[in-house]
Amino acid sequence: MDSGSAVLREVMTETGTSQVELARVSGVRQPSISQFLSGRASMSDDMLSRLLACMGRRLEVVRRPVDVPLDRSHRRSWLLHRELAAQLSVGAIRAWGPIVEKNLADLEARVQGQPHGRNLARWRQLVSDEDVAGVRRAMTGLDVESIEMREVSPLRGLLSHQDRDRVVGVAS
Amino acid sequence: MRRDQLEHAIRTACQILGHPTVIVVGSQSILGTFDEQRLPAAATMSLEIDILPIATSDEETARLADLLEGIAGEWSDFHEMHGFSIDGVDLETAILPAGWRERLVAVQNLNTAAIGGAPQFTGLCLDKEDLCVAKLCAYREKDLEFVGALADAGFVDLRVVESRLREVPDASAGRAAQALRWVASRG
Repeated sequence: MDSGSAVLREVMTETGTSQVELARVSGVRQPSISQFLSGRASMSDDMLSRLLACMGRRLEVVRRPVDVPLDRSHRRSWLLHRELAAQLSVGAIRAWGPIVEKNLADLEARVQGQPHGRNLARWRQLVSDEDVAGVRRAMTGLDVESIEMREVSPLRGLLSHQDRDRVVGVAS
Repeated sequence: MRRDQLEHAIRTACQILGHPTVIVVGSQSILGTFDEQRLPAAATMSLEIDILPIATSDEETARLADLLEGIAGEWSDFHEMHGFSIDGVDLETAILPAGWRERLVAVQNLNTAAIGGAPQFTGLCLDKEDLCVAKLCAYREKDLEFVGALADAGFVDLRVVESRLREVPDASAGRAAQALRWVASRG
């Protein structure tokens, strides 16, 4: 569950607001509110702000750098993708195409369940759109979505063995 | 991920570490109890196998985990050749209930053996309900999907999971409480 879900739940509890009541006042469908609360659907700050306003609260967003405590395998994966991100460009995406396509097909055939299936579809879309910013975000991001995207990364086979071993050595 | 790939990973990890036994944690450990053909498609699984080396100290566990990662981890030659990778992990990776070590499921057969048939290495996989405790304490979307799919298919007993959630270390009581609410919500 993300922090937005926790904030929404806290305010609903504090104000004694039911899902049905909040749906009626906000215009957001009750099943959507239920999904936000369970963390099964992501909620933007704008949506959270809109829902909180209906309960007499304003959303305050504080900007500060926060160290992200990744476990060792997720940290290594981030380091590897970050290294490869230094080579990222539209031209690189095009050059990587055949390898990425082969990896995507392999992953799609052998990975199962969610969010893996959904994230593979996102990778395919990002690559198809040559969306450099989106690919870079998936490669280097430390939000939950980016971390989970890298769990089904189709970028295997693109970083040189020398660079790969150096990065893993740095991580250990 | 297939059962034979799990066995391959066990053999490889033991050979890399020079140990006769490793512990398999993470969702792939379910393959120690059920093969892939029986598992529900909605049970979320990727192509990496989490291996916990057996060592006498946290520092040694970390060193061995890094050794595994270096040789067979993400984007390694091993990964390139076989299409799956081995993640070296430490005990901080999973929250587990008391007694989990006594319930490990041993995987040992010709496919976990070195060339020539000996020695036969052993992978100790998490018991299915202990695995569900770890997944529910992690509480990511994929974890809930995994446990939900196993429960819906009748492969795990949520009453046992619920009972074991009450036996996680005190430091993880908050996570266990969240998981217990999820179990209760499923009736």
